[in-house]
Amino acid sequence: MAEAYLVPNPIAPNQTVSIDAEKCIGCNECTRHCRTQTIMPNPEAGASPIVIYPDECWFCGCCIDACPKGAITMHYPINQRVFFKRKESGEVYRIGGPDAPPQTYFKPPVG
Amino acid sequence: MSDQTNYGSAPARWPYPVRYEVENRVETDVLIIGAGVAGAMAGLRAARRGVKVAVVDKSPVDISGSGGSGLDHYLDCFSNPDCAITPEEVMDLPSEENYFLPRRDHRSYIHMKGSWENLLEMEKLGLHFRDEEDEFAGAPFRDEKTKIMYAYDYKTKSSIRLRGGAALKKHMRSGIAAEPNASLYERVMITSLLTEDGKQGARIVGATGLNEETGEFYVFHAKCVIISTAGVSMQGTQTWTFNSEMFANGYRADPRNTGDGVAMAWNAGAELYSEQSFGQTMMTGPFGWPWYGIGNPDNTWHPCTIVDNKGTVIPWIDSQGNPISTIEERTLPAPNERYMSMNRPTPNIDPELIRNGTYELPLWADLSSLPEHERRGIWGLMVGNEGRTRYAIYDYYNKAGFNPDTDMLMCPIMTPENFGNRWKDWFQGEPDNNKFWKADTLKGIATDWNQMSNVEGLFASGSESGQGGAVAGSSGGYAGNRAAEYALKTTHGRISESQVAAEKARVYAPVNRAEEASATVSWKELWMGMNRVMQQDCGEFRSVALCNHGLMWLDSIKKHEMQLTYARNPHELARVLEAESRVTVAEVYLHLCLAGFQTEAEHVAADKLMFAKLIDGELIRTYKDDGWWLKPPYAPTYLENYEKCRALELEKEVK
Repeated sequence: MAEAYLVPNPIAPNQTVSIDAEKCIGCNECTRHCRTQTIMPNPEAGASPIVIYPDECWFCGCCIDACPKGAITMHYPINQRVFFKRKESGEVYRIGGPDAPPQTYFKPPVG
Repeated sequence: MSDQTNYGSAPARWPYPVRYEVENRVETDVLIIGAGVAGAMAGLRAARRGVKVAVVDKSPVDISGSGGSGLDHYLDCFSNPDCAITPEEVMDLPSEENYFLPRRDHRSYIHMKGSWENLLEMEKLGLHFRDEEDEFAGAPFRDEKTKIMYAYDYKTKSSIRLRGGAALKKHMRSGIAAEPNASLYERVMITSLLTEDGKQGARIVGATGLNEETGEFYVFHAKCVIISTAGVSMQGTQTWTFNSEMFANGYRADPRNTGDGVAMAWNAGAELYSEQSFGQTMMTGPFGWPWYGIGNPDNTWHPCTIVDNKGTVIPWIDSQGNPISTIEERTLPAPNERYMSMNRPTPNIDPELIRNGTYELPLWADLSSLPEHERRGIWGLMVGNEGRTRYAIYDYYNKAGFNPDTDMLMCPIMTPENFGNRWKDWFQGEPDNNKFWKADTLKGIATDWNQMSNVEGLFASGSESGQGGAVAGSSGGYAGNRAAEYALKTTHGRISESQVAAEKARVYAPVNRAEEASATVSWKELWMGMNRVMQQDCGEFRSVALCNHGLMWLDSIKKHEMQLTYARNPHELARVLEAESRVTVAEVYLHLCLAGFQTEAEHVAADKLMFAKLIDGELIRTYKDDGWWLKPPYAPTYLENYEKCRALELEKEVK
């Protein structure tokens, strides 16, 4: 990356939700279900919405719920990633940390 | 960095048509301002009484409000037929036995009395809250006949777990959409109330609004309004602190909960309950953890076993401090207790045992050691349906490898004393024991048995009238009925066009000045500026001089920096207007503090209840006897008043 630019400082957290452009169909359901307008429609019709105000995201998850394609992923900032401990082995992992174990619990939420 | 748009690139065009100043006129009978759980139910019930209803929310109604992303348990449901204690009995409990409702009045009765009926209404709307799949068959918290699952206190049964509560608002929105008398206005933020001849304290004739996508203007002409925008108390310390980059973290309160309702009611001359004591620092934010996503033994995680870092199980005590040994006892009131109040059984964590190393931090919440029904009751039923847990906790943690059958979740590391603090939600983290400011006792707009305020045609429900929380819908439904009945007997008042014009000028000023070089104040800076005033003049130490100093300071900001704000699109415009609401809320706190000092100076009897309003710049205090709600002209019992207010509605239902 040889180029350098004069750009404003990033806001933090600067990635609260991300949208997988491969999966996204540009339906904008997520933008319609974001109370803070963190996600806004892309002015280019059919393109993935823009995560424009990540500093206003409060992690309600309504965008993920609204997405028909499972294209949205939530990202907690570093200061919100807590530990869990495997009781029998005593191994300690961090949510979103390195060497996280694979998912082993698949029950859907109740109702 | 592919997600970061506009950083070094040309800004994208605003994705909606921009129609600043374009005016929409809407005529309705009842206007609902804020359609969270309370407002949505108010809209439904009013529409069913046969009046025209406009339901307005600045967010989409299927996700709006504190319950907009879910609700896992329904507290205060003393009116359910299996509950061992009735609402009337709760009202009669001595205050010291009733932590839950230390200041009881007719409003607490209304929300408890209507809670069961409200839950059945939500069931009709599609909330299948019972364990119809029999997943929890045989669990001690489940009634085998009704399939209702209770929370916390399995003996008294006053709290009900809501299976599928994550979708509560979706059901409520569908219900409103199906009512022919109701119209929905989403993404419309109400900016002010309109009064007859534009006078403070005069009858309400409507309200103005702004669409936060298009920027267009609304004038609602209504016979009456219900404010259900959530109490300013739900803002937590946002009147005192604000970290613009920490929305995501510990804040539970809806970031759109900005005190608009209190501000517009105060500006219209409504009386507010004047309580000014400082409470605990719930929802403080910067130190908080994802709500319900950190190990803890209480609230949604009750009655989870807690172990120390060496694996030692922490023993529990009941509400009276007596040791208990079984998991079952964690879910029962103490032997001599009428019911389990918020003073629930808890792990007994002596801070000294942490200091001397007997218990090693961090502590861990051990779901794996619970019986399956309790584990699933927490991880799946509660976490999974509670607000902001379905995706942000349940789904997220499961995908990150967390398994409640085998894993323990870390508890926050705090000063040892914090662990001994009863009924503290650990996910708030520090600094709960530190001196920190939060006036959580502003009880909102004062209302009578009709839930109408001193301003004719201005009703309130939900947190806005001290009836928030899980059962907010019961106060909403009640207020909706009362407002509809009022509207049936009333004609429209006359809108003052000069009041509309003045409000329009205020609303669009940040857009109209955005190009000016002097317009340098962002919504965030205005908010932080207000915080500084409150930190200085409305902190732990307060005086008449400081309150006056604070009002002078805010007035100075209003005349200067607040006239230099800018908005480059409808989003920023809504945020500036919200920050202006917050400034008004700060003024309300200072005025109420002053009213309190004046009451003290005049040696007003301690059992008098004080209400305060501001009319034409003059702070006016009124007093009522404690218990006024059961004295003439009202009936002497709660039940009689309640039934009298609902008589016509019930008659209609029978027909």
